[in-house]
Amino acid sequence: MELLRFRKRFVDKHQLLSKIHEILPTSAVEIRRFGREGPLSLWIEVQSLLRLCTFLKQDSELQLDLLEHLSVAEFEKVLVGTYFLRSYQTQEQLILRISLIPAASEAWVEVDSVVSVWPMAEPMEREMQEMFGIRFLGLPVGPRFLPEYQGFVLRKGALPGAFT
Amino acid sequence: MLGARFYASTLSRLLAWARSRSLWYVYTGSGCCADEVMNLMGCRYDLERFGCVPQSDPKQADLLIVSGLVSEKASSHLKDFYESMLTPRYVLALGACVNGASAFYQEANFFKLQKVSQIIPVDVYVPGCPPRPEAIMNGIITLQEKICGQASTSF
Amino acid sequence: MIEGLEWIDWKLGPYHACLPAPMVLRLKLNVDTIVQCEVETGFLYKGIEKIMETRSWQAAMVYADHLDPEAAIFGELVFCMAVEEVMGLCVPARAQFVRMILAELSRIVSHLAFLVRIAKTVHSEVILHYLLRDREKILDLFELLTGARFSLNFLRFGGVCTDMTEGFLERVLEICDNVHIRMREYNDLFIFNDRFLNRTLCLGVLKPEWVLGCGVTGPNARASGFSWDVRKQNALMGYEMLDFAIPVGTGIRGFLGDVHDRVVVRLEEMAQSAEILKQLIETVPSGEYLQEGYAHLKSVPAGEAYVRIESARGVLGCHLVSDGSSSPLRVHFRPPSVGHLMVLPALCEGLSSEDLPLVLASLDIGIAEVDR
Repeated sequence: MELLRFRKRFVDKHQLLSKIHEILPTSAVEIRRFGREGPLSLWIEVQSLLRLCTFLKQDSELQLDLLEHLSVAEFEKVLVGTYFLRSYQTQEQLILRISLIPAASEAWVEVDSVVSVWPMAEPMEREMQEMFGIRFLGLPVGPRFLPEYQGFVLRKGALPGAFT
Repeated sequence: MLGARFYASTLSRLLAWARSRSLWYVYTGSGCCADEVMNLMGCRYDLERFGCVPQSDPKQADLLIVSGLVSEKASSHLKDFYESMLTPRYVLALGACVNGASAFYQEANFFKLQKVSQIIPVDVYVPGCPPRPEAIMNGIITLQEKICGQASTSF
Repeated sequence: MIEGLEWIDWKLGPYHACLPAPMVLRLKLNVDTIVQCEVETGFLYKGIEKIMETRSWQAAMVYADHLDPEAAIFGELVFCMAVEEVMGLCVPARAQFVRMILAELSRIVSHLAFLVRIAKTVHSEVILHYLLRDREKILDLFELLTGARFSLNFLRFGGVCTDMTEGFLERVLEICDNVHIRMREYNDLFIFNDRFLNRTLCLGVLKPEWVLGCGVTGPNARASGFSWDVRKQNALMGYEMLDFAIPVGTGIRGFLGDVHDRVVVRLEEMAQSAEILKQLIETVPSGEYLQEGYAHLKSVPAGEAYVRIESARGVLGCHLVSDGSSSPLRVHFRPPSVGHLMVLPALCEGLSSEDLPLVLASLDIGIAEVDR
């Protein structure tokens, strides 16, 4: 494969929104710039995550077939999941964000797993499952990262001295 | 003619001296300190001049160098590893993480074992993050002196 | 391999001579051919990300250092660049120059450690000492500049900690000049030695669809024919002004993407790093080495950034979230070795158990960054 040159090409906002609107009318909630001058960051509804991801991978113009990073952060009791997507062929980037609200600080939250779309998501989702208590439906069962700990390490409420 | 006292003291001193000058070691290459142990095998900080040959099998080693942090998940495995060594066996705890003074200490974090001496008995501690190869060699020399000093009790 | 025979379960426990670091491999063997492989990590969990949330910004940088102990600077560099991106800070040219020198030296150091592990696996003791001798010279340079052999703690937000020591650049140039002699030594003694070729050609072939499916990056992907390098694709630090090539595996002697290709690609990358260093040293920028006023940060403005750099093992990314307070809200690293571990079960199928340590060492897996 020849050298892939990176040009600051981000997915065009209107084109993307119109495409999503055709397929899944209610899924896109908000669209914004990521950081100071990053790619588009698209907030979507949790229920439409899997269908939207399948569409984004299979669309012939977008072809976002690389899930570079899956990161979860906690802002004021809301878990925000960020999917950094990229395309191998066109090198365009897009960021998907979902927000999950756990019922209690030690409660599980559920969301669809994107392993069927991007197989490279498996270790990342497994780590987030254990660290934040997000159950990914459809993720195959695997060995636990930290088997002795009951609770979710990276949530804000987890106290440092709680293990002993 | 020479009597039991000669054998018990001089022979045991001789054996302890021989044992200390040929400590074959196995190391748990877990953390950043494992890099320093690898540097020790090189030609500049040569550990072989102390008689220490690296081994892969715990059953053929006298010395266990715990290089790098031991987490809670790995602690039972470390104990099994140590138990599978044949006596006489010695342990050198390398680095700040296993001495209980690392940057990842228990108050801020969950899964670090504070001291490896909670699971296995340790002979020599070498502090540092990571300790310089000269400090590790100093630790080996201290261990050698300790083994020679145990002459009257070990045999 | 005998058809119809019951499989043996073998657990290669956390502490084992053939594993690069504590991890558990659960293998199913048919006589001595591996049929299935499952990987478990988590034995080196230090909780770096959680600790960084409780410390101030400068203190958090020290923890980022321990992400990848062999290639010293990359963890710090990616965290520093992420914070500078959030703040919109411009790094002076002289500091950028020092950072690039440290990055390329760290790349050479990491690849030398990789070759040491390969040499240990094939029990070639002679080349081990040659490699470690050269590695020591570069670690001496790190000590000359920063005071430590690894875990340097040298970068600050907006530049580097102090100016370059006198005589540093001359010594770097000495190392670059000797690189070709060293490469010839390694090639004759080791890499293109008949025994090594017999051992490593056509072994552990990393297929292109596995590279695309598992997100493998770095020298492993380049050895399978993909010419990807963040230094060329997304030049953030000043690499766009330099002229260097990206070595890609060719597979002329064996298959494309076998163990030998991965070793040769890293060797050639060391030579390219020496080229980059020589070009850098020709034009040394003058000026400040640190942007004033940002070294002791009380707080970083609220915002987010995702920065990726080309570390010695692959693409290392850092997602940083700040909410304007005196410690980071969330720091999440994207280590390159996660993809390499994911491709291991597919790579091990059909492999003889004698070849497992070599294939494992050739992937250059850093468990310290996977476990964090």
